[in-house]
Amino acid sequence: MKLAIKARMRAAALTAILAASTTLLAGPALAQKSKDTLRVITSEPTSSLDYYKGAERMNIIMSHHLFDTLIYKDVKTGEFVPALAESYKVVDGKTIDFVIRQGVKFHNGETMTADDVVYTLNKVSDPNFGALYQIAVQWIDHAEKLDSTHVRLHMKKASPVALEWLAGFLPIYPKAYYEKVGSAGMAVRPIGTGPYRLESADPGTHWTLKRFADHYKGSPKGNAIGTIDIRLMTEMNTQLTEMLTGGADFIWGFPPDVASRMKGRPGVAVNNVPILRIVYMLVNLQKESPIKDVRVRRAIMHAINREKIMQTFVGSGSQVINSPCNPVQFGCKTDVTRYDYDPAKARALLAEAGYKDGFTLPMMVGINVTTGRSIQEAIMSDLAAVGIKMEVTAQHWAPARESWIGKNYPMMLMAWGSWGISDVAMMTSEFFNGNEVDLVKDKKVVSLIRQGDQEIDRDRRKAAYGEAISRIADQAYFIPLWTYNVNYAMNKDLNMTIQPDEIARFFNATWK
Amino acid sequence: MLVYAVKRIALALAVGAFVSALSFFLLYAAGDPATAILGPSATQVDIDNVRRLYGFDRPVIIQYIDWLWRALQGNFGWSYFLRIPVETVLEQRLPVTFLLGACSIIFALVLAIPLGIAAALKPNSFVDRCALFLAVAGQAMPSFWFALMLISTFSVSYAILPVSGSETWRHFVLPTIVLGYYAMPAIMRLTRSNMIDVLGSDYIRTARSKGLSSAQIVFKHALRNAIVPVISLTAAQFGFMLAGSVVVESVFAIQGAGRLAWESIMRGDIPTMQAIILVFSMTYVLLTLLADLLNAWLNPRMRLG
Repeated sequence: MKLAIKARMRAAALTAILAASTTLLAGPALAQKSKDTLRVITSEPTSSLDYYKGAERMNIIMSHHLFDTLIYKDVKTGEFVPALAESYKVVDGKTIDFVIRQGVKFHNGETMTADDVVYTLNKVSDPNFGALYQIAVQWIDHAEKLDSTHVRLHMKKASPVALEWLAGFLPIYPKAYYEKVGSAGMAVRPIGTGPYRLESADPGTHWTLKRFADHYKGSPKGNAIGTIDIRLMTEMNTQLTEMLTGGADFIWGFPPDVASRMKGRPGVAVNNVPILRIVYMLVNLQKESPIKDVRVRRAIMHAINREKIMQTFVGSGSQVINSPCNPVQFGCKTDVTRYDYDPAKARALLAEAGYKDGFTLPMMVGINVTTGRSIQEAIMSDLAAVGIKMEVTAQHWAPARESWIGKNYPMMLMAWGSWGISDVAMMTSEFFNGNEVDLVKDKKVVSLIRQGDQEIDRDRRKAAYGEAISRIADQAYFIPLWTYNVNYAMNKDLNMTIQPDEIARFFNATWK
Repeated sequence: MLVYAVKRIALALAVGAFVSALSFFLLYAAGDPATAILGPSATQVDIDNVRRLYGFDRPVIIQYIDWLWRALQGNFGWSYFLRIPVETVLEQRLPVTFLLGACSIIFALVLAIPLGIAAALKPNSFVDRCALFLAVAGQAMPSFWFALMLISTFSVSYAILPVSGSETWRHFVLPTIVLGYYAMPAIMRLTRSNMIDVLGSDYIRTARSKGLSSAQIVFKHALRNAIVPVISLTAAQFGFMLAGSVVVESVFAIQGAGRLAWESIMRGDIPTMQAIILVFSMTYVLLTLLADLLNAWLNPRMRLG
């Protein structure tokens, strides 16, 4: 009740701010174009600017501006294009050769060489270096300098997503600088080859990036805007107020009702983009509970009005899914068993399974904007209508995950963004490869998923994943809900789009 | 007085040590710090690696002793989140919170004490009712709501004060009002009730009968006694403001220590969290100690206790 009152008061406050702001806009919004400064407000923090020691989405976004990778993924075409490597050649499933681009400058004026590339790849893949996300580096065996312009990368095992990691998550560091200043120096004064250099920073809260005039010719990245000013602001109402009063040029991640109320405000463009993140419920078959019965799991699928809940609380930019992956991802089979909203069928299935009078089912929720209270309550209400009383425990992701892998809950409501990588190897595999999160542990599914994860041939990968996904859907081992979407608002003078990988590419932004 | 002060300081240090140990173990009870550091995208390989690298695989008691030993040598370690020394983070964030807290407590005192005195001089009068209304409103109104209403009025409708940030004095006006107004009612009501008690006492009647002016009676004789408990309360309120400023700091996007404390818990940033708790608890203890010493100075009878 208290939460509901608080939510209403926040909504009322926003209404007051929106009403007050109606007549005050347009003028201030134009001012920053003349200063050539893009003012970004984000509610997501950035941790260490030593990219490999950070673990936030904003760290990835920041790294795309401050650093460059060997190759770059053109998000429009899905193609991998040259970046710090002029070209590359996949020699075999476990080896890639790179021709290193010459004349590329770091922000401190030094020239990037093959030694920097070899140093970075070997350094960050050493477990003792302490890269926070081992998943992005652990597949690297070592890098080898063939000559002054050629580098060979050896993998420990065939990795079908190696190019994805290389294109988005393995920025090249300056060897001499990093050896001199270490992680602590890089954390406060990062030096890369990226299109922007760090001008100033209040660690964790405020960063000013300036166009790097010596950014290499032929880069797939731009730097049309002179200054990018990024501020951390966690309170959504304050973000919106700054946007509406001309104090910001870009904000994102607000809910659909706010988006609809912001539309039409002078000087502000509001957009929506579907992203790779999906919302779902995991099931635990390692613990005795009614959901060990497939009929109960199918009843749950039929009981939840996913389309209505999604339309109401998530927005029309999303879509209901039937597979444990985002339909746009490679390998995501969508032609699988479907469970339409049918409460009568759900009740019949429960009766058949011996639960005519219903039962109580605990569920863990990993707190996240995508799994908000309104969504939880809507799901609980639908399930209560067929006799399943949910007992929800909502926790921050750390204890939620701990409880889940401790097998304490039969179900968990979560969201997963698969690192913005459009491949089920980063999505379905995370749930069903027999790891500690996989509490279904179906031997056939695990075998097929692992087969797909290690196969390089795209057709064979697709076939293995497809078979696994069909079985998962048929057995209702996973309660897929919907894909997620992101709302963003920006100054009408700004040209910029957000891509489904949730990486904001401010370096591609231009003024109209 | 010296023995009294030494006793209070020893007690303060014991409280600080206890708070530090309790918070350390509570952080572990709240969830795996390795998972909190890595965030929701972590895999088990990542988590195991962080546990090893950060020493989370050791017994918690050993980790605490290790932290305490380094802290006693003035080394608070590195922030797990920002990867810079904790001292650097605190140097950046603490002054903002202390400044906001100080401004707010001054605002609260300036508002509360005159109102409390006015209400006490004429109990149940119109002035008293108005003061009561202000107090009830201050306690009942959620600070985030009040903050947003002030933003709506002064930053949006009239555009005379900035919406967020902490760069200039103008950025502190609205947060000071919100935080100070929240602390004001308790001080005002305590001033009022103490003043009513004191004004009804024998020595005040004697003072009146001696023909002293109302101003002399109120400010020289009554207030000096009535203010003693208010000093203790103000110290406690100031401590509360430092630790409890997280909502105001969030709404006005002030990057202070209250916000940092909350973020550190969420991110499993134990070194930062421990340092903040130590600083806050010691500040709180110090303020209470100063209030006790001030009270003992004002009221010699307290020194005997």
